[in-house]
Amino acid sequence: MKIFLTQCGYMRTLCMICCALIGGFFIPIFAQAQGGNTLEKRISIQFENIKLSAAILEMGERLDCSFVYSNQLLQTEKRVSKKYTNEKVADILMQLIGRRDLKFKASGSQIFIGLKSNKKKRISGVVTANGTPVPGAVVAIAETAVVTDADGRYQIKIDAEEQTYQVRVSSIGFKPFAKIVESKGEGDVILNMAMAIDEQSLEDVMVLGQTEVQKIKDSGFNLNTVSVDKFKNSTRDVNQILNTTTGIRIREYGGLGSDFNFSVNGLSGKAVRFFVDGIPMENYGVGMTFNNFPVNLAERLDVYKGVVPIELGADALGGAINMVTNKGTKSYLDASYSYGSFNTHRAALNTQYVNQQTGFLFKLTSFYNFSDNNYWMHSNPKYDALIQVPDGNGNFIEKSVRRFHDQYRSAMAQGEVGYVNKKWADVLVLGMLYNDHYKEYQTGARQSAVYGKVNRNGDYFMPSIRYKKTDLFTKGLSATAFMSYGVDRYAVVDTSSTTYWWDGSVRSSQNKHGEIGASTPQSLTNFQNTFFLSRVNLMYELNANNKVSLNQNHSVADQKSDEELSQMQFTPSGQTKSIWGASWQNNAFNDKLKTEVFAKLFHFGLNIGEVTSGKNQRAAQKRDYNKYGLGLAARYAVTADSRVRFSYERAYRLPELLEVLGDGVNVIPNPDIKPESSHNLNVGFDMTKWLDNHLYSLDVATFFRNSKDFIYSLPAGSTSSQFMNEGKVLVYGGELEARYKYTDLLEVTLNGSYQKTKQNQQYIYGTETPRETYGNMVPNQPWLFGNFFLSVGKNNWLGKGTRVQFDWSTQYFHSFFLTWEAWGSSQSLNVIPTQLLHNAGITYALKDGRYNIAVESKNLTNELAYDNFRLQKPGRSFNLKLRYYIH
Amino acid sequence: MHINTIKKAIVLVTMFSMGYSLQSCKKSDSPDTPEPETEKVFAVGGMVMEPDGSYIFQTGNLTGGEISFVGKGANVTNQEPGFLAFITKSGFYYSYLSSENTLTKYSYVNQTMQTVKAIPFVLEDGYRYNHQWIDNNTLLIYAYQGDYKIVNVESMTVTKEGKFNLPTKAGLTGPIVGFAEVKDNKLHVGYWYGDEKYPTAVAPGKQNYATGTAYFAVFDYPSLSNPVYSEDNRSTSPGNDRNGVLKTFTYNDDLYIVTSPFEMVAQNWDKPHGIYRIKKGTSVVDPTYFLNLSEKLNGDVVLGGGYAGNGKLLIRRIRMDLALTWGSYGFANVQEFHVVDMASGSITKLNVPLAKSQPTAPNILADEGKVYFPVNTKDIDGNFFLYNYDSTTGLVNKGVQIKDVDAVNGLFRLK
Repeated sequence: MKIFLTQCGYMRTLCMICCALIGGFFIPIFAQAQGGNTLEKRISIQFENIKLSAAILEMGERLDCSFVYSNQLLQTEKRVSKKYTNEKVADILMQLIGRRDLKFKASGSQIFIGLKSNKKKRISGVVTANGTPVPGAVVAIAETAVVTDADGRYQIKIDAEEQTYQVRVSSIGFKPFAKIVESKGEGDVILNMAMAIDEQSLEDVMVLGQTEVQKIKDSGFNLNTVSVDKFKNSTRDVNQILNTTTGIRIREYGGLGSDFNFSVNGLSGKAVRFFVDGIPMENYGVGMTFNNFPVNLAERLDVYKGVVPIELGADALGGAINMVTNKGTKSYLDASYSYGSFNTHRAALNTQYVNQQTGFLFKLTSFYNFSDNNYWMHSNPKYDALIQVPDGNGNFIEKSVRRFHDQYRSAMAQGEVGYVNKKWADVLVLGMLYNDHYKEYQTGARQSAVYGKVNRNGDYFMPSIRYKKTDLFTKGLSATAFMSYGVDRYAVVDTSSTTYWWDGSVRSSQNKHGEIGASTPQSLTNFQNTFFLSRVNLMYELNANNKVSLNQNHSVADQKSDEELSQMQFTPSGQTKSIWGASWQNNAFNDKLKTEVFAKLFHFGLNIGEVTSGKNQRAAQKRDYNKYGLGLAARYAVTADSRVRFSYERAYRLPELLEVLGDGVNVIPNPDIKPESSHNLNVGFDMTKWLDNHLYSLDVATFFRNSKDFIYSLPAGSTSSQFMNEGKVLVYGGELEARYKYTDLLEVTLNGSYQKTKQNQQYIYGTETPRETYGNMVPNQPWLFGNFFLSVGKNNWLGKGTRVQFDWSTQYFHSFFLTWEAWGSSQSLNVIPTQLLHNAGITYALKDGRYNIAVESKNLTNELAYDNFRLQKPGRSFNLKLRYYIH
Repeated sequence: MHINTIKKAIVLVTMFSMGYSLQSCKKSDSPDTPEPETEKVFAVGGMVMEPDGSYIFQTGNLTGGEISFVGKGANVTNQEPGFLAFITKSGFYYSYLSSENTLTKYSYVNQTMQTVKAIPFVLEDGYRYNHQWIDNNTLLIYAYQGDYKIVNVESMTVTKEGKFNLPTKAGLTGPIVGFAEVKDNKLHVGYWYGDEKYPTAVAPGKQNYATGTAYFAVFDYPSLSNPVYSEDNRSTSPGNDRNGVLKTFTYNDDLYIVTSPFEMVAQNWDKPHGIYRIKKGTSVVDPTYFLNLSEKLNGDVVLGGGYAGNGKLLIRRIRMDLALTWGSYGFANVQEFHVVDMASGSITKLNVPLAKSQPTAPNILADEGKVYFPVNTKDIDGNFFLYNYDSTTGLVNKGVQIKDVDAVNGLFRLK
């Protein structure tokens, strides 16, 4: 018997919310979309077996205009019969005449019908205000609109034969204007324009900061691009910001520095890859993760869902997150410090100096995090999450206790020196990164397993060099290159022969085992891993509409480890990974259609030394993998404000060293293991519309993943395990985000994600025995979650150059079952409960954002929050943050 | 300027008082009203896989009818380590979780496990443990390295605790206890030692871990004094370290011990699986008796079974010629069931299909002359049956049909 489960009620609710959002936000847009010239008018008209020339004449009478055309262009004797109801004049003409190479032009009371010209001319220039470039301004000619880039530049193509046209320019904070331009001939035109500041609207306007984001998003990839500008006064880390975007669910195991599971559209674990400026996070060692990066170090976060561009050079099965830091060439200083609940200190210093004459650059990026994470743990029998301690008489009592062994400390500093804007390089920078961390572990995978001494500590350093050059050797060829070598040294310490109860009292002592596993002895394991990475990206612009790119990532990682207490040497091992990517990007139909087709070649080599002692002895081994991946991402601009997107990738995740060759001790090799693979498909639609000072934005996407050969660890003996290709799942769902913004006074965002993961493994591995759960929804997967974000701010309210801003955010997670929903009595099933968590903060900025003070509360209503079964997250916390920013 | 000062004051007051206005939130959840307990005789543990789900369903009959776990039974997935954790008696379930150092007494109410009482319960090296009911109210739980506690389960109090007085051996791991059995005012303990450097097995490509000797100790009970030690190298690993899996049985008032050199338990490829005896009134292993089961079963492994009575012992055999990988021990159809006639030592194969099952699961139950066992091999409709062997008639019968699970990995008697 197969059981298929649905939650129709929740889907209906989600649909109703979507409809309400669409209706409420976009009715004003459509209401304004009326009017225009004669060709845009909508009429109803019927022709019954009359000549085409007569039909055109009848339309002229109806529209009170005359048509001008050549008889050679039209089959005027052709007879037509058709009824049109409320259709545009241009569309009716197109259908009547039956040729797509014609163009129509209304002028006064005449409509000219002529042949379209194949020739285009380019109108380009710079938009400025008071001599400063204006990024993000909209420049429009007829139906074509573009947005100026970071330097205020724009470029539009129009028919070469157009002699007179109207150019319209608008941008928030500036007075919109229109200009009639005459240009005879077919040559390109340079047209620079100056805008005037709109003093009145500037009262409520700050920098929008979305230009880059919009540009990045303008592709076919299913991509969330999060600009972190608005969070820079917040005490959130990168993970906490990502956790509020659609399709992403981060399940944390505790407070600051805790481990976490990151899922993108339902795929998680090693299926998701992380990058900082395109450099894989695994090259940064174990001490650096997205939940210890302060937000001030990031400029934006790019989340690629399912389909990943070649630039990242990754074997990412489910998606990739790239944190982009500030790579501009201006000088700035951003320093911040925050203090809050649980004795949490966070400091960040991010500064850059660029000598504009010599091009010399110095950059320092650093942070320091410290927390006791001593938040209260509360007993919660309703969700089978008890906190109990002995009463001294052989019984338990339930009580609330503070965490007592969860301290976390991490620090990072990266210095870079080099030159920018030189003839021989746009950027050439040498860098050195150092990271140090110490992390205590309070619990195992469940809070019922309490640790009192386990910790991990280590450091990491990485020298690097990066290079960038446009028009290298020839015009149109640009290159970026990066190379680094990292050494990661850390120790996992589980040397205690004592275990502890939740109140810190001794549970058992003089054990032969450590705290982590009752079956494993005490241990102090030292790891030393080295990483070499080189990355080259070449892009050649064939012409205005075609680009080709080539990317190569090569990494070599070596691992060594030993166990001090037993003096056991683990087998040294190494892996080599080379990923080649090639892509072709094409713009067609006046940039309405953007297409990127790409192919990836993965090569993976593994080797592990000989094992000469223990239960699993074996000879040295090597293993190589080669795989090819293909993908496509396309977007079509339906109108100047709305686009549809489509993307597909046949994605792979190559097995890792441990999974193939084991560790020589407890993990048994499986040289036959295959890479995980997935067919990933996305379809999306987005729309952004400015109406005066109102911004309306909507993004809807659906996705489908058909993944197989998931690599799982299966127990193989009382202390051994082996990785095998076991899983096969279907994941599908949709997500929606709607945003409204009124200048910089008010911003409201609402998003929701719905996803389902279906067990698709029909037979028990290696047998023909049907698997009972085949076709059912996989448990322990969040499937409905959403976020609400409200920001209200006022400029110059407390004096010139000040801003007061209140932020409120609410996160909603619907409950989900920990185990199979259909099996067992409903009253005995374990659930992760529905949760509604609120955060709020107030920021006061002075001197145009130079000085900032913010107070923020997370989990404001002190909910008992769980991302995972029996792992309580922190309760209410308060933080105060001071920030100094000058640029 | 004056207005700005007031505004600033408002902002600051709001900022610093924001959280405190919401501090009075308090939760109160009234517990669900328990429904009356359902009187049943047996508990059947069903399992679905990936991710694993474990469910207990109570029934009064294992010889017929059908059991489905869809929407029925108590979810016990989090009772790590699965069904091995359960001990049953007089309608109650007991579960010792070594990772939490907790012994919990449950009752099965409204198809849920309701906690009756949980007590702190620290067993040194309690990762693997076993139990024996000394009487209806007295439970012995012992860890695989010899730490033990005796519990009065009515009051849920520990009445005696300590560590079996077993010798350690330099350079060896252990002693590792395979069984402890109170019988005739004696506590019998069987154990073995592990050796990382033990000579490689005769079988090519195999390595041994358990040394080739079985060890026994017999103490006076309840004083646990006057130990008498003995050893025998015809097999190793007397008993096994999986809770609820057959270790010993009494036949003609003598204690019989089934050994388990199998790699999932002790890992010695050179020693056979067989049965030792400690005769009533003696304190050492009987040097005149060893029933070599492997020899009669083409060198195969025996793990799990049940003594049906009337001199008939049901055993689970693993066909090593079919079990080519570790995974196939539990997931392929590699298991046969045989009956050993204790009087003659002869072995008879039961006429049931080849079965699959976790060989370390406590899913074979001896009760009132019968032994119940699952043949987790699905028919064309995806169902399978619990079979039973009747020691009185010598017949094997198809019993209750099991639906909607991948395996039955637990079988318990509640009364």
